[in-house]
Amino acid sequence: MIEFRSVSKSYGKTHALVSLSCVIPRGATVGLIGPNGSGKTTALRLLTTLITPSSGDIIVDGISVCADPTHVRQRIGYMPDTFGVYESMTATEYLDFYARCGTMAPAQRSAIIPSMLARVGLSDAAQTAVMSLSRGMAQRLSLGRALLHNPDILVLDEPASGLDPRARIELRTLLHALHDEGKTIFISSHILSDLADLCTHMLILEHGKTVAYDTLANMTRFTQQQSISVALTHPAPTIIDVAATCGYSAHQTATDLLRYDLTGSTHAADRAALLRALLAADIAVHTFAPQEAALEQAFLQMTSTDQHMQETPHA
Amino acid sequence: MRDINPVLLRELRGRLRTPRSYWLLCGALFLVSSISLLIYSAEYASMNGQPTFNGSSGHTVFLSLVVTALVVVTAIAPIMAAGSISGERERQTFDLIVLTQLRPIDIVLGKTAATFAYCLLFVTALTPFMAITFLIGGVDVGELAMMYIVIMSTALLYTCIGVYWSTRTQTAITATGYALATILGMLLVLPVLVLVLPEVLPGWIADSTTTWRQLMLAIHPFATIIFTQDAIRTSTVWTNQYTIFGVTIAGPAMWVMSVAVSWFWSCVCSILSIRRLTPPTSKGAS
Repeated sequence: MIEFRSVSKSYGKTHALVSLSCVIPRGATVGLIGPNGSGKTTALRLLTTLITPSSGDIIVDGISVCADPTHVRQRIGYMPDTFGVYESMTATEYLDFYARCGTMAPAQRSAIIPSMLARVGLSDAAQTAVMSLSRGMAQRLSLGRALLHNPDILVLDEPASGLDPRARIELRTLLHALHDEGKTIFISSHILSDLADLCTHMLILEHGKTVAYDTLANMTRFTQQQSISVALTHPAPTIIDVAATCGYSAHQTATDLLRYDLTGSTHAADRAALLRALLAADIAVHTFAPQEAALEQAFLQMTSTDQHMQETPHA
Repeated sequence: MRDINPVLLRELRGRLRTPRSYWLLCGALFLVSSISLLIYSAEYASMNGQPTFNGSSGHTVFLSLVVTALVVVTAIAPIMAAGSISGERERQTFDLIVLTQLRPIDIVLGKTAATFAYCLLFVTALTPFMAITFLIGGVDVGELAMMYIVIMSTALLYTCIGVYWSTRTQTAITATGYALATILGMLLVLPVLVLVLPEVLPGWIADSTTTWRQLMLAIHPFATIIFTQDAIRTSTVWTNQYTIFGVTIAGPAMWVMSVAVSWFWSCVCSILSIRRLTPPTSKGAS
């Protein structure tokens, strides 16, 4: 379990992180989202003990990052947003170097390095110079390095940034597997669809302040409005009036005259009432599909104004 | 058996796998050999057509080699060491090393040993040139060993100064600037102080001017070499007479003091470097 206790970090007069408090259960996958400069990387660097809090503390499995950073580091695998390379090193030598730094015995090293390369799908690139790896391969190698000492907690800063779609999918598959192994994972990313797919919890930051921390399910439930895509078999302009009586606004899509986007309440009961009303008005509904962009909507709602910060429930 | 320090291994491999190191070594050796050839030729010309070298000529060539080697070490050691940790920051690999189970002492010792090993490689490569002067005559094995020890102690000190500045700065260029400024300060400012202070400060310092000067110049490798030549001429290689508070006492020779002072300040710089890399701990901020 990881507990942030009123953690703040300031650089002079700049408050990078303000009183972050949350409890992350073991095995959770936590997505950190927020605009640039919102404090995501600061939060991750505080957790990895690379920087110390100005006030507050972080407790990792009962160990304080302030009092005993060395032991916390043993529990954490960190993958930064940039892939730092050493010249003239192959992928195998790269992992071997960090395995040696982790004081791994030679026999253990010779066993774990090939298996780790296989795990991250780089067996064929074992003797390739790290400088010549593609961005996706470098990210996977970096993840392999972070996993060398089998840490309980993984901290990933923008792992999917700059990856092509195939590399993103491969990375996502790998992270799903790590989640299934029970690892606690922190991911900072701007790609909300990836986070929605991977995360169990979401932490939204803005200007260093906590906008929201909750499970993904609760977070998206909090979304006040949801879009429903409705397709008709015959034209029915009355749909706009009928939807309005149920509290939904309907807009005909520009590309398809028989398709409408209805925006309104997220509650299942309201959606059911809307559907009943449409059918009762003899509107020939072909499909009625609530859209799954709830995380993006939640993020936009919560980070758009200060009002939302007050309305959003904090964990 | 414990593994070799991974930082040392990586640094050595990293350096020697690029042509830069070979070019640097070749350039330094070319410089040393050219200067010794010039001195050799000058000595030969001063023989007025008598093609016979004596011990004095061999010693002059030897001294020129030692001084040139010291100049090269003075440049190489801080420049290479200054990029050791700040270079990791620039490459964005520093965080990853810090987060491993390596202790700060392992990182600092690995970085220091890597630069020191390169200096050792250079000084070892000088051996054929030194051997020539040895065969000409005028230089004995003891003096040769003494000079090697002084050069390597200087290399160690300047490496530690470079590593220290490397831990304090974000870029290699800044660290190199600070390291070279520190060393040039020691080499240029110290002699000025040695000359001026005894004249300015009254009392016991004025009474024991020579001792004072020797003590202050113990950190100055070039001065050490000059003083050591006097000691060799008077056959007092290991001991020296010092006058403090009007009392003359026997103490270690200047070069021994120089080596001891270099090692002491090397330890101080290394401890400061280790402290810079040690994560701050507290009971938890309030």
